[in-house]
This record gives sequence, structure tokens and C-alpha cells, in this order.
Amino acid sequence: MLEVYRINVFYGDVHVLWDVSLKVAPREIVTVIGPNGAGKSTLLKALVNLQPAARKGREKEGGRIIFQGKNLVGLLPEETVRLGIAIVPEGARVFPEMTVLENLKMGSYIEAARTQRKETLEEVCELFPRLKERMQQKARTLSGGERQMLAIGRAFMSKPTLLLLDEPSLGLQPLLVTRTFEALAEINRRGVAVLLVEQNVQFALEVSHRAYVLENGRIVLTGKAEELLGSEHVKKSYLAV
Amino acid sequence: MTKGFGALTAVRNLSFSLQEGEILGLIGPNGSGKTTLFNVIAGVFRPDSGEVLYRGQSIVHCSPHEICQMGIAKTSQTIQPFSNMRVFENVLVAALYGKNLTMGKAREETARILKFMGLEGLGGEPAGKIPLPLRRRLELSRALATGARVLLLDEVMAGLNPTEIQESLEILKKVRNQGKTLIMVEHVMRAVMGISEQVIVLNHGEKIAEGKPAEVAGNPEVIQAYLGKRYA
Repeated sequence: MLEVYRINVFYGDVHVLWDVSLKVAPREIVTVIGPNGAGKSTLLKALVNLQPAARKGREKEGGRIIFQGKNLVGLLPEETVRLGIAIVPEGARVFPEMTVLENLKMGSYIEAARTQRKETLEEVCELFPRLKERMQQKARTLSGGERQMLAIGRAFMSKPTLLLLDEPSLGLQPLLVTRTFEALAEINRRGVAVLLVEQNVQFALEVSHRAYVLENGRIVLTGKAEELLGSEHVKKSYLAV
Repeated sequence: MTKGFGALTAVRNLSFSLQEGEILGLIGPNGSGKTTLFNVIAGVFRPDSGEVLYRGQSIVHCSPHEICQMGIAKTSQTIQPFSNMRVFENVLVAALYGKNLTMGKAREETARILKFMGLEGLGGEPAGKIPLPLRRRLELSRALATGARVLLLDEVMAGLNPTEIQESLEILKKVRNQGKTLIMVEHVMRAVMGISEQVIVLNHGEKIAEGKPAEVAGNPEVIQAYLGKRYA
């Protein structure tokens, strides 16, 4: 479904991602783990071109990002939404002056999602009942955790076939962390592929099929999620056991 | 203390007290009023009714900068350093302001705090460019540099992986051992249960439980409203 082949990303002169390759198969949940600053968010941004893969003059180092047979390199972020990719950005990034309902509607602006808006909205409310209570409130009045729920709900609203999530559990209370990962598993059972960046390594690996470890901008380890849960390197560096 | 916003009562009739040198964990569902409580203590909001007493004195009519100089400093959930200034300068500003030091003394104090926090090699880096765990440590350094006796820590572990959380816990213990009083809002159970002497649980702005970490974690109402069955 998604095939990333040797992408490189630069911030100015700083080389952030080095020849990163990864795959997500249809109906798969894949997690990328790694320390803070390793380039995980940059990787997600690069997939939807919020951050260009390679800089001007070094396009050859851009590699390929193939989604359902189409090369995403050079597409506008909004074009990737139409192709069926939705992203939950780091730190929620909801529209503060819009109500919760308006934020959710914004998630379903593409035609394919708009026609199913009512049903998807019900699914989101089922997932996060708190959002239902807050529907007419402006997003800026939400707590940190509520904003995170809204950002996930907004992404669901676009009816993606591939969902990218940058630390969805950030700032959520334990009960909602569990519920969010359950929700991701459920969404996945309904046919949506998921690519996840997450610091809650234990939960993320439990729900995932496969995982990659990204360190200093390079993939250093990959395997089935249960294998990585048992790996000495992962245990020591990411699970504190 | 009670504080509302329009029709919504964010914190309702809440009472608690904290001794010098204690660590209090403050937990509760998202939107249960924890950050609002911090903002009332720090003087960002005035309560609708009730009192906040610091060392016997009411502080509800003080402004945030006065409260900071009195010795209560708050870190923010979304880290807000002066991004374009260097790490050293960020801490220096806090030292100059909070303790009213001369430039020379403030520089010494800044160097001491950066060393204490393990940031001494990063003084020259722009604050916005360092990785998240170090930016969170910088946020804590700035609060310490004001000379605060009470630190309000709003989700200082958020976004850290378990190994980074462990490192951060060691630093908080060092801070506590200096005699500081800490109130931690935190969803990372490993952290809040591992370091707090006392835990208070808020739900819909009201206190639903308080006690030692183990007692609170076993409370059925807390499990139902906050932790979920996985933690039971």
C-alpha cells in the first residue's frame, strides 16, 4: 500500500533522515519508535509533503514514496488527503477559533468523506463521548487531552485508507490511551492501514503488526512487533526494563 | 476554591493542603480541571470563590509575576521557551527576574543550574532547536532559576519514552532533595505513582479521591473514571 524507498530530508544544511525505507501493507498497523529528535515526526511529514523529501538541487536524494501505485513526491499535502491519507499531527493542531463540530467537519471536506459525514460523526462520538459533550465549544477552550481526541476524530472524518498518527497518546489519561489504541485496532479491522509514531512503546507494539526503530535519522532495526518487544535493544532503550 | 468559565465549572469547592518538601501528584481525566487549578495557584486566573494560601498568606489577588517572585513557579504543558534565545539566556532571564540578582550573580546561578540539570554543554544552543526531553529539562531549569520553593509541573513527562521518563524521574528526585515542594500534573502512571507521597484525583472539577499512590490506584471510582481496567 505504502512503499517508502530511500528518502532523505534536510533542514537547511542538517541532514535529518538518511536513506529511510519502509513499507506498510494494506490492513497493517506499523509503528516507528525512536528517541526524541530521531526524525520520526519529520518522516511522517515527509510522507504527505509537509516537509519536502530532499532539498532543491539534490532531488535525486529524495527517493520514492509510492502510495497505491502513485508517487507522492512533489504532491501538495491536500492532494495526499484526496488519495486517502490522513494525518494526526504532533500536538493536535486543531483550529482554535472553530467549534469542535466545525473542526470535525473540516476533516471531511473531500467529497468521498462529505457524503458519509453523518455516519462518521457518529463513529467519532462513540469513540470519544467527551467530544459529543463539547460539540458547540470552541476548540481553544478544550483541555490538552481533549484537543488530542479532536485531532484524531478530525483525521477519522476524512475516511482515510492510510492513517498517519504522530504520538496520538500524548497527554491522554490512561483510560483514553487504552481506548485510543483499541480504537486504532478497530479502525484497522475495518480496513484502514495505520502508520504510527509513538513514545508509549509498550502499547504501540502490542497493537502493531510490525515496527521500525529510527535512531539518528536511520532505520536501525525492524521486525514483527512481538519480536521487537522481546529485543534487548528495545527493552533497554525504549521500555526501561 | 471554585473557578468556572461561563456555564462550565472547571474546579468546584476544592480543598487540599501541602507541606514544604512534599510531592503531590494531581491526576484526573482530561478536562477535569487540573491545569485550571494550576492557573489559579499561579495567579493566571482569579478564583470565583475560596482562598489560596501560601505560607499563611492569601495570594488570590496577586498577579502571576508577583506570585513567581514570592516563590511559586509553573512549567507549561506546551513548552514555551524563548525559542530564538540560547539555552543559557533562557535560564538567565529567569534567574535575573525571580531572584533580582545582579548580572554577574545571575550568570553564576545560571551556570550552577544548568550543571545541576545536566544541560551544561548546551548553554549555547538555540532553545528551540534542542530535542524535546532536553527542552522539558530547560523548562524545569527556568522554573528553578526563579528561586521558586514550590514548582507546579504540568505534564513534564508527556512525549517522553519510558527510558527518558526514568531519567526525568531521577532529576525530579534531585530537585526534591534540595527541599523543593512539587505539585505534578501527570498522566504517566510510572512517574506519578513512583515519586508522589500523596495523590489527589479530580473528576469534573471535584476531588474524588486522595491518599497514598497505592490506595488511590486501587480505588474503584478512580479506575472507572480515570485509569481504566488495564491498570486495575
